[in-house]
Amino acid sequence: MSSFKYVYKSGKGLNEKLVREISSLKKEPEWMLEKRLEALKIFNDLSLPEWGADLTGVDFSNIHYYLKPLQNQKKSWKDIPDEVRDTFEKIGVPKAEREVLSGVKAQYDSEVIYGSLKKSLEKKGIVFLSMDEGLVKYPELVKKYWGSVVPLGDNKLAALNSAVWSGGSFVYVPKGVDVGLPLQAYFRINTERAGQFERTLIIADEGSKVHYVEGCSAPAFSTGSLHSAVVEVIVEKKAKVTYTTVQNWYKNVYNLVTKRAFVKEEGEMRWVDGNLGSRTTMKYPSCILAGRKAKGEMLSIAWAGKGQHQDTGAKMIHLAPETTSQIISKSVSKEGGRASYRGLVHINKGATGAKAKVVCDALILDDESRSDTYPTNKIFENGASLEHEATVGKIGEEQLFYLMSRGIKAEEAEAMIVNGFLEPIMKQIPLEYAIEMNKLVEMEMEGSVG
Amino acid sequence: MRYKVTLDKPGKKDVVVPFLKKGETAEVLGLVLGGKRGDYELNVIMEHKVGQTKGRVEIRGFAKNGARVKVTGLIKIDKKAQEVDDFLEMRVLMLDDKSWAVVEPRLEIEANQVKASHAATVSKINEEELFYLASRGIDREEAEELIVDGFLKDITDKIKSNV
Amino acid sequence: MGFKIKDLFVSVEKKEVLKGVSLDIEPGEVVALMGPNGSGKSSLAYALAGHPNYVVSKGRVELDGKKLLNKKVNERANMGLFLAFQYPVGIDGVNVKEILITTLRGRGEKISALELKKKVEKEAQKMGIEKELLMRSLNDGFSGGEKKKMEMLQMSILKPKYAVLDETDSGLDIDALRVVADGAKKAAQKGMGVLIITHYKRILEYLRPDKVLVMKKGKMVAQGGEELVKMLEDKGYKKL
Repeated sequence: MSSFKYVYKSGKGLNEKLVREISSLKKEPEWMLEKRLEALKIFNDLSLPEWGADLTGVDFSNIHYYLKPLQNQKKSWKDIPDEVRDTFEKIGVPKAEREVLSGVKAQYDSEVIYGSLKKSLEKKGIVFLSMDEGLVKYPELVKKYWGSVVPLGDNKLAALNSAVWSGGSFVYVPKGVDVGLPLQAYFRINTERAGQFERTLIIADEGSKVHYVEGCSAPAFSTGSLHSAVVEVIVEKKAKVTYTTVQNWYKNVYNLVTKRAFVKEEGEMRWVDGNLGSRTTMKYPSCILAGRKAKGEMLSIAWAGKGQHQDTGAKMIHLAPETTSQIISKSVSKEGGRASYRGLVHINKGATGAKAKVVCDALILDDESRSDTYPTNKIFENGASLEHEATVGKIGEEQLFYLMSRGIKAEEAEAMIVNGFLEPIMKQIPLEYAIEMNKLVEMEMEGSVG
Repeated sequence: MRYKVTLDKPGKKDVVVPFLKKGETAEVLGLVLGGKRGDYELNVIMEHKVGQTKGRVEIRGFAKNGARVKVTGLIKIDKKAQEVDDFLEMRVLMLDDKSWAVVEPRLEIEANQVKASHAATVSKINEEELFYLASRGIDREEAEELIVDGFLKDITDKIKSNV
Repeated sequence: MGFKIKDLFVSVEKKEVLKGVSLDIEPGEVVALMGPNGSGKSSLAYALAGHPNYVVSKGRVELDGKKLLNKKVNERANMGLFLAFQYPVGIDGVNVKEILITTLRGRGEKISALELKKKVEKEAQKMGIEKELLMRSLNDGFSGGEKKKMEMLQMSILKPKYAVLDETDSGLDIDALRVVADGAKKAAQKGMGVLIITHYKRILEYLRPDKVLVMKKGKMVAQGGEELVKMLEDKGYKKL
């Protein structure tokens, strides 16, 4: 990526001077700088979690923490790795989109689309800006909620993000408003695309409804090797939020994300996660079900191929009566990949009538790969109930035989069965992504017949 | 091989089943009778180091009077252990508001020609069942006993039998 | 031409279930294969389709002059063989249209998803299959009769040269029975060869066979016309 030119490129490593520079470049209010500095102290004090995936490869001193690329930088299409180009070809991403996604072309087109989208949203009072802009334009609102769901000291990576965050989305939906169409992060993206330390804050006011979609199933090539984002969602009374992420980071990336929602009375939060890429992912979207009848749902797909470790799961914390949660996790491992499910269901005393359900199924496609399930279910309230089930296995021979007896080749039959296995969750992902993901699965399945 | 374990007073018990010979089958039957105040912990590990083995773990228990019941089960299947079939089920009934239950069914699977599944439930006594027994003239305490016995019956029967 | 099976020996889990079975089916011919439980009838069906658990130790099978036994399961299907299962398996997340379009495209037929959808819906309507079933995961929660109809739906779209219908379930309702019989009859009239495997004569009242073969303990023990069916009805299998 030698042809990149940056307006500003920090030196490697993390220190107080850098944090101050970032804050001043962005012209942030004093309180935000204070929070950043406090987070930096905490980051230095905490140690990396040892219970999850292997993070020994992360070298904090060797990362550029802040990069602001030149508006009109031109990367050349031939700089993109062959496999990435091939994948775009095979999954049928339109040429224009390819260039944008791989950073070769600046987002002129998306700016234009975004512009007109912004106007129709503004009419309803909906705010959809980058986090940087949101902080500057709505400081009171941001100050009220920023860091309230994921505090600075929550974990080392959250502290890191709080210190050096840049980019991400700020969404506010007024009372009773149904946004209607999904808000795509893609549109909001400016030149800080594929930000390493994105910070997103979504506030759905009482009775509102919003679906936020981010990521893309096309391989996202990134020069940065550590992506540590934080997403906070506040679901006010009776509001409904769905947050869909489809991630296919290139195979050199450590994707360590903290995502959490605070759900008030009769609010509904749903996380939909498609984890296809990255070298190592640690991600456990959570819901704090704080109000009566609050609902939390987490649907996830994890695909662990060669050299990948997807350590994903969910946390559902029931703090109030009649809260319900559902976790459905489906994973596929092949060619030595490792998919681990790590979940927590905690039903606190007083959460009478709470109901929790967990289903985690895994397919292991060959004898090189691995699947783990580490659920923890803590029930401190006797008037609550929990159901948990998990199965691990390979593709059913009877099913394979059935499809082949219809004339379908073995590889295709396997791909169909794998796609069918993932279907209940694919159904929840917006169509364009789902189609691309299905194609990706088929591609991954080629040449994998045992 | 059949392993039977009953935890009827506060304490900790570990059951580790190593599958060392091909074709081995093992069954673990566990009961956690958490009837008084204290910490009860039962850990079961099924370790399949070789293939063509079959396992089955069934654990049932209840918690009341301040009992704190924790059950962890791990099915571990090594890479070379192909054609393994294992199933783990843990079910805990919570009988009052002074007790709690933690259930952690885990899987670590490195072979692919396997069938491994687990299920865990934590629940309280079904009100409908209590009502039915009450309509037959049985008081709540007795009804609870009957229901809990019925809940545990499968396991208690198997444990008693010497098959 | 013809589906020719000669001296077939097949074992399942080391137990021999077919001990030298021979039979011929001509294009457009309806052949009924009957026999008591455990005679090996369903085993014949699975062995012909190429199920991995059924090991052929001896014998020859030719479909319109081409050798069958050395071909993979899907290759046999593409040669024109169709097996309607007795208890079709359910597949999560995969519906009947997906299966059909994949098969047809795999054969080189250029058909759009929309065209297929219309075709499938038309056939489904003729067979009395509810439209909603076409969208659901195949056989997921379907009744015995619905599963059978779905098999016949696939057969009508795939137009095989030879169909083996495993009909040993007596619990089939009249409606489903007629769908199976009508489907097979119409296809036979158009030249498809049919091997209908059954215990009971009921379905044979709707699908009249040209030839009746009887198996017992892995061997062919009798051959004849329809009169054989009546004889079996009256006297049972013991006499053979």
